[in-house]
Amino acid sequence: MAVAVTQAPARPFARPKSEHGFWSWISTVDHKRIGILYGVTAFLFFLVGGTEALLIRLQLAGPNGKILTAEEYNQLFTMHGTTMIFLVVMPTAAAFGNYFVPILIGARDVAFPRLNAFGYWAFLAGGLFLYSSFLLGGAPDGGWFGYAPQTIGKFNPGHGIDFWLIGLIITGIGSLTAAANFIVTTLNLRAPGMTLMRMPVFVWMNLVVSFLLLFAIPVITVALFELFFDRHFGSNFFNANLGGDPVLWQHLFWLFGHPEVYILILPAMGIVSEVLPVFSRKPLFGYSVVVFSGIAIGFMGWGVWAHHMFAVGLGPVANSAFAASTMFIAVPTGVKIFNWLATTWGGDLRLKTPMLFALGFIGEFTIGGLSGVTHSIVPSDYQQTDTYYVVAHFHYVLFGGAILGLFAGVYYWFPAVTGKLLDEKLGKIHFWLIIIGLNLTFGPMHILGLQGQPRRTYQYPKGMGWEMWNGIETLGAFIIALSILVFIVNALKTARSKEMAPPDPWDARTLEWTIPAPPPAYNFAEIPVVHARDDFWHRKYTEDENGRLVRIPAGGADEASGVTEHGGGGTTTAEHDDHGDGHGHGIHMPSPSYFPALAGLGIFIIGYGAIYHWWIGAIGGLILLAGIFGWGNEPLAEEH
Amino acid sequence: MQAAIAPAPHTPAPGDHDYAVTGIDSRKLGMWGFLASECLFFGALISSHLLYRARAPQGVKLPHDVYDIPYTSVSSFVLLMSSLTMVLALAAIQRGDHRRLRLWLLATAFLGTVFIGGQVYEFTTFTHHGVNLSSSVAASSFFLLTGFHGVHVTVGILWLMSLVGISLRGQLPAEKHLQVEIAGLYWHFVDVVWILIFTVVYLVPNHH
Amino acid sequence: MADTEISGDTPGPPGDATGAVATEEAPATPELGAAPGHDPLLHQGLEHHHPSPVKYVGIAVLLAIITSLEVAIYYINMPDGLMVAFLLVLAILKFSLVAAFFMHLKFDSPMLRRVFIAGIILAGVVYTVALLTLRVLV
Repeated sequence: MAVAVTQAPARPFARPKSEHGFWSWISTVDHKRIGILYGVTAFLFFLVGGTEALLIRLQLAGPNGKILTAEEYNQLFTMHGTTMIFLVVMPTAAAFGNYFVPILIGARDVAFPRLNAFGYWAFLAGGLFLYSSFLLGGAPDGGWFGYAPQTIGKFNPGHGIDFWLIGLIITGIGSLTAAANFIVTTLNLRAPGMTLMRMPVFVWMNLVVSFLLLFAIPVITVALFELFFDRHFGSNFFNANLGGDPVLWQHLFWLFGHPEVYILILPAMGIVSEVLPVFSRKPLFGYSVVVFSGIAIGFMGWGVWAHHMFAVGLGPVANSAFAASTMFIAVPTGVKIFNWLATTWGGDLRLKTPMLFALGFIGEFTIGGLSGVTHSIVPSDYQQTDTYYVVAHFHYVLFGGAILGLFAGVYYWFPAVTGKLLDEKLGKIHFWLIIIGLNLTFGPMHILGLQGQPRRTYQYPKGMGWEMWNGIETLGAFIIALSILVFIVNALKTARSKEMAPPDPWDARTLEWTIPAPPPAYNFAEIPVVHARDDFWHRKYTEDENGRLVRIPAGGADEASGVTEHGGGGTTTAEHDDHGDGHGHGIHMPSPSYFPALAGLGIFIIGYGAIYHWWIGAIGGLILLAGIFGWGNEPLAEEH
Repeated sequence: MQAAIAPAPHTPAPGDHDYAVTGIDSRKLGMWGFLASECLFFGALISSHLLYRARAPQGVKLPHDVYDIPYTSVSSFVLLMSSLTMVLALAAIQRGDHRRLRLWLLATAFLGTVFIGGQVYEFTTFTHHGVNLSSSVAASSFFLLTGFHGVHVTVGILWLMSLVGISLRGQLPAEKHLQVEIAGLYWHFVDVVWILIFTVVYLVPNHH
Repeated sequence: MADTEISGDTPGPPGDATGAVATEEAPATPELGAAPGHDPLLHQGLEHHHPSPVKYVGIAVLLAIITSLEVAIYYINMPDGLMVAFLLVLAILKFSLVAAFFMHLKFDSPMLRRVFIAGIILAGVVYTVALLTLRVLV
């Protein structure tokens, strides 16, 4: 790497400079590396959460299961839900957002690179903190929704719930900072010509999600603190015996929790909106409508939360109002589905793995959406609530929806990140196995739910007639596991392979395919100038009088923006800049920094202080302050 | 080749560290986003208090029974004035007057500290009257709300003192006035939250 | 810094930028003395404008007066509903004065106002609804 000729005077803790090796990952502020950190960490948590699911399914495979005690079961389903939501789906979306949003808008990085890094460290800290509970007296067992009064000290002594509360406060801080970062980045760092209505839909969905996070995280944070204070400082927010109201917990939790489900699904919808046009060789049908539906879902998502509380006793007025709003929110969602279908209609479909997952999303999510609509009818919901019917619904939308959508993103963007294509054959096997597996696992849950099998229950007795479907569900879960194994084999095989993909392997539409893969640190040698939506596509193709695609001959590229229609720009940068760090171009990227990780470490330690001894918290606090002061005092980029 | 950041205004180009399509500096936009999220945070705390403000066991005093309105009015006034000193600090750095900048920043931090001190005294008095975090849900919600507010003020005081330190080291020139402005936005917001708390928690009648 | 040249036929910064395009720059101009007869409110919409220190003190005095009024109302005997109405109006007035002048929202880009007000309105609506279902604020 470029040797620094003049350096700042040597300090005891010098600013990291390295670009390789373990410490370079600890100190990175490069949004792409941070994206990889999020993605890999989230995938590892996915394997853990999946294992928890398999244990649950083993317990429930037959009646009177003896594999787990009731307490162990409660811990497992709590951790399974909490993990999948907070430590898998959200961070995977963050991985894609981090890696691609700056590139998709033609920027070099996010608005606040160090804050971005901090967001990852807070996620990691919160996740590890939560999982340390297994080793420190037991994991939380109050469900991912932590309802009082089961979770107050009197009924839940021990530290499990505290690990849950503080773990989520910590990850919440990370999500909040990431949200603010994405909002400012998307609004402020778009390349010239990249108007809001030319942005890729994934960027739009990420923006809506960021606003949802910005406003929803504070609500759950208050709830988490109130419950923590109930458990440790004698307050009685949720203790009905002393004037508290458990329903307040539910309001605060679901005020967060409902926007949260849109936070979970919108990024996957964004990915689907990117993949379908590429593999149909047609623009997204009704771009503006898809964008505005996403925004509408974001707004309306705030008006439906009490549909999680229909059976609590809020009364007919409240229940009816929320039932109506819940029915209405199906509209923008349905609109998107129709637009996606119209996108594929008459298109030149290429059924590659990303496209299969995107199409799978549409089918499976629709099933989940339909069961959701049945929940909106209050008397119907009285029957369904707290049964496996609900479990079916949210797994269809979260697994059939979000997870399939995120896998579409993995297969689609793998070559953009690594320069290699995942194996198509293995990809297809993964896809079909997961479709079979998920439908076998979650389909029968509709039936069992309506037959009365309650959720969150560690055993069911013989003679209810539930044995067969439960057995099939367990089989389905292991088929899902097998499919993931296939994916892991694919990923490892591809990592070891030397075969590089051609540039722009999917013949795609957006800016991430115009730069080399893996991209240089600075993304674009020259910031592109954007003339249209799907700008890259229009540089490659035009249409003849019959509306057929005609490839624009070589040399028709906009040289000023440094984008060639080969989608590489590789030769130019390689000539000047062997290290991809921008020095040959006079580009200054933000310098690496340890302080975001240090601040994350400080918060991690504060967490233990809150549970055990105040002086542990004080030590964590000092580390946090050191991190913040160091961060505040160092410039964003060191001069070389 | 560098774009000169000199007395003449400069229009940032894409890739520059201060490029901003909206025309609003990224840090300022970020801070306002954060303040918007804080509305949801304090809103939840205020709502919890509104729900619980009249709930206490038989014979146990409510916070409302022990408020000293004249006293709290004075401390509210102190915090209001700290917003004035804060904005005077910003005006000072904008015209390059570093002495005054530090003076007004210190004044703001001082007034903030007086406010916190006043709260500590106030809360100690309440505790002597049997109103504490666990005496009733009314008190729990009162203390959590005002406690979080106090934590925010304290963080603000530390922030302002850091700015004084940076200025003393000569690292806060007039061009970096945005740093003071952003600290100011945070400080004013904390003041504005207190405006709401003083009215809604202390003054609004609580007849039960 | 990037050595990008934006060629002549490309659009300038996207047309959806609200407010002034140039970021706020602060040359050390002595514009903030208490110039007599200089009414800052004539320069609405320009980012560079700041009220003079005298104006700030004026706002602070106003805030103090409103606070005293609130406290006075507290001691007057009147129906609860009326008192709450008065107090809320005064509180909102103080809130707006600090936000508009001390936080400079009145003179800054409308986008900042929108972001902040979005948070306020969202909080107001969802918490009011929640409290209504809990039979508070009936």
